[in-house]
Amino acid sequence: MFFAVTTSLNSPAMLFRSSLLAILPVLILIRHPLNFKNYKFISTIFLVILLTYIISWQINGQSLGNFLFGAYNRNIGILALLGLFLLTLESADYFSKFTKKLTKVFYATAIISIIYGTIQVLDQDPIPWEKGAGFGLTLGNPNFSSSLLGILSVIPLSYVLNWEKPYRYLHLYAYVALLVLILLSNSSQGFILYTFNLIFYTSLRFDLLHKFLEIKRRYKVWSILGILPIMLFLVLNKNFITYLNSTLQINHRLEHWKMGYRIWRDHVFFGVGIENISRFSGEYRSELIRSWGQYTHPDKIHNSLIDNFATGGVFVGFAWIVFIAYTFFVIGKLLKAINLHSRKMSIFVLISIWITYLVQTLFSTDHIYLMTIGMLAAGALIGIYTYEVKSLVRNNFAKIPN
Amino acid sequence: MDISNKMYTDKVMNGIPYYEPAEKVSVGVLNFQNSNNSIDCLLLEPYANRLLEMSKRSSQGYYILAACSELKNQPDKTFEMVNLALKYDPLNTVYRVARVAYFINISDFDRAQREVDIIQGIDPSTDQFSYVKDLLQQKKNLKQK
Repeated sequence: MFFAVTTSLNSPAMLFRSSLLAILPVLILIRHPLNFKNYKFISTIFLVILLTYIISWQINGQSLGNFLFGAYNRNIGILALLGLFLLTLESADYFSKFTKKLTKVFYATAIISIIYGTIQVLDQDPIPWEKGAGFGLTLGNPNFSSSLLGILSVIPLSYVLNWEKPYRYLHLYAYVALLVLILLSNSSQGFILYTFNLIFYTSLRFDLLHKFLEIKRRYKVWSILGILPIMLFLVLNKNFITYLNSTLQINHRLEHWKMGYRIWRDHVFFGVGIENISRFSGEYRSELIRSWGQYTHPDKIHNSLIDNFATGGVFVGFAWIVFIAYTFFVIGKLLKAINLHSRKMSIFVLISIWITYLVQTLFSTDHIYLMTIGMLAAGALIGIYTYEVKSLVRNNFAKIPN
Repeated sequence: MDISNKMYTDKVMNGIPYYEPAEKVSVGVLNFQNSNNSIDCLLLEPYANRLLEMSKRSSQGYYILAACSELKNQPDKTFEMVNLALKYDPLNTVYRVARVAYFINISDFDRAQREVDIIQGIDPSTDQFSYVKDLLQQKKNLKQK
């Protein structure tokens, strides 16, 4: 999917990628039929989302093309979404048994991204992509490419922190190369995700939260008191706030979120239709958004949660929340039983990828490729829980150590 | 994007039913023709209808139809189309300028003035705004005399 660019090779349009996402999972399903009974709960969630979008399509008189293929250059229409959901279930079935294969595929993607990103940075890319503010890999936008690198950075990191692994310095090289490319992309998103991954993964890997809770109370108080003045200084520093606002475009994002809320408020139950925001944003945009351009009609809300509510109403919005809550429940169960696992490093990596992807969707728009990576990781985690942890608990097979 | 190339614009308009590039092309073609003072409704109307086929909420589609109705001297239809365009994009000042022109044409200067005030608040640098504003002032002065 990384190489799934359009036939003319000069446009980052996602139609080909979206078509692959719609077709491949169906072909896999024909070859390896799924037992949907094993995934009743998440299948129901996915079904609710798909059915609501069908109702919404009818209610809003959305065009068939838009409904099936999604918005231009986004292409997360109903077909791609159906494919994505199938792929999540297939990932649960397959990658729960072959988890390392998934992390290896992700690592291969990271390495290909490093090589291709370097070619782009050196201005040696033979493909004449539309130029953005930085390099876009094959994702069409430096925000997405840096997010991809940030999300995948956890894989070389996991190898670097695994002292027994050979070639640790090569992994360190890959890890640093990802950081350099993120910094060269001129996009802050990747850096945020890279830093988040570093903190989150090391906390998981070394069980830092438990260790923090176990230290003496007075040390906890002192460490919090030590951080507090720094936080206060940053929050009260106008220059820092201005810098933060311009770097992260907080005001712009807030405007999008408010617009999403206004759209949802008028379309509470079924939203405005899958990938149909831009047809409504003209009516709901604020004067600030208007000041960005006469014909600026945002097609995404820059927050997947609000986006789900605006496009699919309460049914899709809550279904997505339930899905996220379920994955956190699964992660909780997996972490409780983590010491029983021989593949605990892979599980940590998948948890980090899923959560970093979620973080990305909270302040940016969804991207079909990033979404696929996130959902593959979530699917694998659900599969591991379904086939291993559940049966461990059911058979009273082992007492899970703390 | 070569707006002056009809083969290219037709390809976009009649290709995959993607609204965004179709709208971009039709806005480009309308602006291009406007700047050359040669609006060709035989070309533009099918584009507008195509936009409305893809989305009933296409403000640009309604605006093109309004421009063509005006050329055909159909003031009621022009007003209806401009209102529909503004319904789906109320902050678009180009559409509002068109409404000012309509109100001036029917000598409804109060509503024209209200519209001018709105544009003044949103974006006074809009194309043709100074022109319609001055025109309104002249008409009002004439009426007072």
